[in-house]
Amino acid sequence: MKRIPLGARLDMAEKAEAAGFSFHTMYGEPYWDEETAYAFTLRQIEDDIEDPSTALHAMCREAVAEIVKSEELMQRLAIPREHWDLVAESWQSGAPELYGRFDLIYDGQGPAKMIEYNADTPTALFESASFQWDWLEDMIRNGALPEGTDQFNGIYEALTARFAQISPAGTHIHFTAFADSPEDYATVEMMAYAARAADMGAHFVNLPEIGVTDTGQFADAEGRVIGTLFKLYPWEDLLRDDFATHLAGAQCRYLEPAWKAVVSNKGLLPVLWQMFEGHPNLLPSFFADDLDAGSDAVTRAEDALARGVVRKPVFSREGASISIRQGDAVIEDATVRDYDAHPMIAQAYHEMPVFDGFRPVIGTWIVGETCVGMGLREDRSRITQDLSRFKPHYILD
Amino acid sequence: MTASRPLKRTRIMPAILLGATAFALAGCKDDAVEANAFPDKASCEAAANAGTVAFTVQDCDAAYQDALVEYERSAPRYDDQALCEEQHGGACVVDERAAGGGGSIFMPLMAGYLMGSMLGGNRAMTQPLYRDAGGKFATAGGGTVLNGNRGSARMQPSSFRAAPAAAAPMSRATVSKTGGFGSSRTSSFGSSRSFGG
Repeated sequence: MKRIPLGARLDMAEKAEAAGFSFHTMYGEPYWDEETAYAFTLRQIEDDIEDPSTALHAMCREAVAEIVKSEELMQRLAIPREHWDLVAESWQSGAPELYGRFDLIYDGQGPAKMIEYNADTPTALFESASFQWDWLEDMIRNGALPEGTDQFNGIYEALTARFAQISPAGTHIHFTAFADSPEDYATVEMMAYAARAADMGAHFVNLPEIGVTDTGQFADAEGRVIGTLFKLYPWEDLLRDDFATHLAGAQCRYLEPAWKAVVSNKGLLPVLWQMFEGHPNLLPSFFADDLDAGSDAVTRAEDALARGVVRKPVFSREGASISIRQGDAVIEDATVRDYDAHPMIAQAYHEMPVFDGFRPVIGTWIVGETCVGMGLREDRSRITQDLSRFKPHYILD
Repeated sequence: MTASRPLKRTRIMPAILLGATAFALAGCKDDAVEANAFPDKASCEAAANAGTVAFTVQDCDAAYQDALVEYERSAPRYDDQALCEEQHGGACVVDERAAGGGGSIFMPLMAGYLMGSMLGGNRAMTQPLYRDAGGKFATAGGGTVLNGNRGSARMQPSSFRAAPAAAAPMSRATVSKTGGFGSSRTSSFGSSRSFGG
């Protein structure tokens, strides 16, 4: 794993504008940054990143089976009691998952460490699946990278195949997000491209314009009934909104399914550690009150915890409300504190590698149950926030 | 570099244009399909034997069986026999599978079935038909209403997706309320409009 100064394409900005990738620069800072790129060996990709990510997803599925039958865990994950059945039934009926993204810390050797699983509303899908792919093609065409250079990025193909696998051809799928958030909307559009390639009907509805009919079904802004809803809006919020009472009876299929509420929840991390203590791709994690109370498991993790503890709320996006402490000393605190009011978990801090002053986090994409690609973001800070830069990657050998 | 190793990236990637095309077809209508209505299985088989439809006798039987299953599942139910007969212009029967409770549940007889060629599938789409109060024939949700229970027509595939209390996806519905999603209560500020991570 190396950070290589390849230089940006001369026409990068034009390419981005032509693709409608308007947020390649945000707040005057580059968001998409191809001045440098990360290079990996095939062995690093396959053995250290791809296979462990697929295995982690399987472990998460095992954890879901445990969580949905435990009232105690459902409570600790702050799933509203009135929706426990909705969540549990979506799991028991085998409602299929579509996609997710693990965030891993990896330095080129040794096991990658999972820091969290964005299993419900991961973004950066366009950057990972499409713009990164185009970048590699251009770099090969320009002669900046040799013919035959590859990239771990089968995301688009896998999404198309997954749509075809879980829905009959011709199924109408409504996609929803906030239309005025360009990053969210781009992810939804990318998803819609894959759905259409799988012969699905793709329709967009702005989230606040979703309506409920007399019979309790959801409808779009034109009053058309929604049969399948891809929502780039987290389950923890859906379950607390005014329309939450209609979710179970709306005869609507949700993507992601409701059981993702317990996966895309930092409370998953202590459950995984409890079930798979010592797994090389996991970091010791505890519910914050369990850590403070102490236990045999906490004692066994003492060394790792002494290097630092990351506290995160069970719900949080873009690094909000995360703090990193070593003993009483603050290593780093998120400036955005929107999620401070929620129950916290504590995870052993794993020092991130530093490349030219930047700390990369590897996002691995899961489609269905398999890891199919990756994208990197880097930041000078230890907490990857919403202004972290997206970095393209390629495979060296 | 060996040429034989499969690529680890998407082989053929279409040009993705944000903000323009992903939902461009949203306004388009469903493609209509050829649909036939039959009062019973025998008339379907007769039409199949006569070669006037694209179905085989086996298709007739399979579709009839599917229609029966759908009938059991989604036929309109009433707790009052007179109301059922009024709504369906004729005889209603007791729902044998509705167990216990205070009294009997009534359902109309199946008055035929709709059969449509499946788009890309090998089994015909089908829906049971019921008489309505006006003497016409309708699917359970009332989404499709026919003058007779015999004949053929071009119909939207959604005509076949009716369910009892639920309207088919994409069918027009009366929206009673909007704005019930999006308050994002887990974020104390609610200022962020981005929900990805």
